[in-house]
Amino acid sequence: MPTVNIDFNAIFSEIENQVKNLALATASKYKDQAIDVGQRIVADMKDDLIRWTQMLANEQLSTDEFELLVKSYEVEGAVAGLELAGLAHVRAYDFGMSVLNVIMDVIMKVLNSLGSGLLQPK
Amino acid sequence: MQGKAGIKTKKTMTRKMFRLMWALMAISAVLMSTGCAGVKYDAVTIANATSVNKQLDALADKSTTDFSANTTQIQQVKDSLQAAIAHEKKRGKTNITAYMWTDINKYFNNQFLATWQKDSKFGQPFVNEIKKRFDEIFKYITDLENHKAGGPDYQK
Repeated sequence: MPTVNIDFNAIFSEIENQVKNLALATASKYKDQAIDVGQRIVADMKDDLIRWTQMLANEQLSTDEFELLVKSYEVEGAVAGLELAGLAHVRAYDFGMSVLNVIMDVIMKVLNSLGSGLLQPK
Repeated sequence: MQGKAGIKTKKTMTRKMFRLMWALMAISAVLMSTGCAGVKYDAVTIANATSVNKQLDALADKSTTDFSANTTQIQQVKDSLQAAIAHEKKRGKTNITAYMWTDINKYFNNQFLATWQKDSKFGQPFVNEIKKRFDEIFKYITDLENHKAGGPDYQK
């Protein structure tokens, strides 16, 4: 099975941009705090995301399994979201889940676009 | 000289400390918005977290086999989660740990079990990874509990 080279800098740069946009759209009243929380969720997950993305690309994980692992961060995501002043648990949970969805979308898009230059066979 | 294990330990410690800091900040935010007093340390929460963590790890090990062959063990975990949530909800509205248990339960039912049932079984690499995550989540709960008033790591 070929090992794939993945440009994680490009992936995390794209995730960071999209999380920023998400924070601006969902918590405009506390936008700076929301951006900070979103970025911290991503930073907390980074090592795991790199390993799981590599495992997915190498077919050690199925897409469903990858998604399940990313979503396992919903507990930490919701706690981080609670920091946003005035954000109730339901909204904090939704914010955390939206960050996880952004992460999954970006990674899946990259893995699906083998010809984009981000994912190249070794 | 610091070996690979040393670097990993340092990394894990930093991550644990940051997570704990966020949870404590979240507690402060909730307390400020509600004007309520904080929830105190509870040894039952620690016991529940340890027990459910073990049950989930054991169930994850079974998840390389067919979902339908594990219904008894699945039901036991469901019951344990419900009992833990019921306990946490009695501790007051500002108890963030209750939110965490609710989210674990949601993940277990709507994500983990739903996918296991749909896909029939998981692969061993997934099981290895999800067990690490279960351990981290419950470590988070116990660390947070230990930092509450009256707990062994409480700092005034």
